[in-house]
Amino acid sequence: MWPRRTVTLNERPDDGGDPVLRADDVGLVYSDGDRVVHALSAITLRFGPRGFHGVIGPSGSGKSSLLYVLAGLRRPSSGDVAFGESVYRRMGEAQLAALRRARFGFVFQQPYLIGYLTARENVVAACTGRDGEEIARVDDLFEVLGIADLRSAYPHQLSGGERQRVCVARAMANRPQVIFADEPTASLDHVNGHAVMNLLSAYRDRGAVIVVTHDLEMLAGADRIVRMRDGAIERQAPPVEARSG
Amino acid sequence: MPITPAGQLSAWLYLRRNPGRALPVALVILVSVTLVASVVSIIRSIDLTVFTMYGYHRHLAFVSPRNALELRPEIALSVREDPLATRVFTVRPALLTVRTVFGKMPFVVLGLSPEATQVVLDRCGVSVYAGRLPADGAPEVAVSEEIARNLGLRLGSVVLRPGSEDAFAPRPMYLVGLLRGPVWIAVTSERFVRDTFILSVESLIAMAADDGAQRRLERSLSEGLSKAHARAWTFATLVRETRDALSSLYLILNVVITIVVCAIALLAGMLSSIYFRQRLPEMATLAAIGYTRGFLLRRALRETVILCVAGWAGGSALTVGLLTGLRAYVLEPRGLLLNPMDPGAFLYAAPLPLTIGAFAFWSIWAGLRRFDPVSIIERRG
Repeated sequence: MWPRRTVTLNERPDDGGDPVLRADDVGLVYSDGDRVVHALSAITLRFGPRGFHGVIGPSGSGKSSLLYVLAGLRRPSSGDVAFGESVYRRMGEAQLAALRRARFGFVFQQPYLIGYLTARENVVAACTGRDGEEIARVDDLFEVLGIADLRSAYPHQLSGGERQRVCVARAMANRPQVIFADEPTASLDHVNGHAVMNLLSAYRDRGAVIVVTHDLEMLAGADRIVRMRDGAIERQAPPVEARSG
Repeated sequence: MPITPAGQLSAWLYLRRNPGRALPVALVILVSVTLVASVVSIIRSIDLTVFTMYGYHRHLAFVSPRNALELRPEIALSVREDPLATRVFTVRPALLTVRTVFGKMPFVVLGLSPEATQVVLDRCGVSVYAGRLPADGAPEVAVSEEIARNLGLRLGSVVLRPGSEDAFAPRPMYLVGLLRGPVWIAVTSERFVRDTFILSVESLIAMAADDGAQRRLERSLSEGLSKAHARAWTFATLVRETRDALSSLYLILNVVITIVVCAIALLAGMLSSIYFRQRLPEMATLAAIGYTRGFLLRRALRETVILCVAGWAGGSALTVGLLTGLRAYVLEPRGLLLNPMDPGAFLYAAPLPLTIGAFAFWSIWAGLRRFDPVSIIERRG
């Protein structure tokens, strides 16, 4: 169970130690039909082992691309991304997949769950271990996230907010060191959006949470906000400064 | 179902909980296997019919004259003195016809002496089931029960008669005995045939000590006899001639089955491909959270293999059921042969699930090779 943490808006980033995830001079260029898209350029960032980090920017600013590059789902065109000592450039697809499975958790914009599995089975499917203790912990997770009575429900029986909470549970199932969330509240109403963000922000003492959003209000409790524009970092600041910026 | 990650993503669970996607593919395989196996079983019943009807050739070699009513003395002597021939008897044939799935076929009624009749029946494993054996010199016939059923005969029926196109005899010949055994056989009195039929050909039956020696005797007779004056009728000849006669039919069958296999494999593969595309978000999510493409491919392969095996097994079971019913209610009452569990038919149907599985797997492999989880996840946004 993770204690809710009250974060003041002017709190400085507290990442609790040496960077665990880093991007050095990262660029991402790809083709979209005849068009060459410079999605990211010269991105250098550090994320400590704990903390709640927001990435904000207008549509097309490259914030989602940054998230996917950091998560090892996209390979950068230039520069390096590393998790601890693992440099993505030197890793094969299978190694990157193993890293994602063991160390990362994901929450996407659409709360996609496997339709024929119950909520609990969806979360168990993300677990890396087979021991009873780890699987039993999934039940605790449902309790903590307030969705205990949804364990046996199938995705089509859940509302959008409930589904996204199950996705949060899935992201936390392996006790990941980093949770990546790409617009996790975009498809939710205001109340559900805040509820999901509270669940994610509560994880900051366990690991790093990196949330991409276009809604600054959702990052009210963030330790740091990275503002992006045209594929580059425009500014890194604590929430208060980010708001004023 | 164990509560493990592997359990949640097992092929079984997917198939059990998605019958709407699993059943159409399995049904396509099931129906196509039933179609192919049934057609092949029916066509292979020609082989079965020939080798059952004329199965006595396994135990008996016949030597008949050419362009003469009896064998030249030196040829008859060479047969009688063949060291492999333990018993040699004179035989005078009469002909009747039996109905088969491919039309009427001639069937020889062996005109034998009483002693030869008993030896021949013993050698073929045939015994009298009802009635008795023909009396020496009498217009009587004993036939296997299958022949009686085939021709609708009962004890006392006329088997061969004057004026019959299919079973001619100068005088009516009556059914006095029903025989039962692994082969079809019909016997009458050699003396009656010799005395009654104006054109009765005198041939020889040669038997070796056992079936192994019989094959060697067959080779000896086939190679040693003057082909200008005599012909050896052996089991090897029967097999060769049957295969030759059916080779064109089997060629056509193979072409048709190949076309059917390709067409159905294409359809089932396309169906699998459509289902796979519908599951791309699921695949993309699993890939994003750390499942490798290899895992996803193996999972798809397991699902495909289960569907193919289930479709093939179901199709085979359905084929056995349908053909058993066909045999019981349609063919057997008419004395026609069919083996509902012909292994050859199921082997013919085996390429269907294999090709469908390979095609489906290839389409999934090609899809996974190109797929980019991020673009799928973002497209949903």
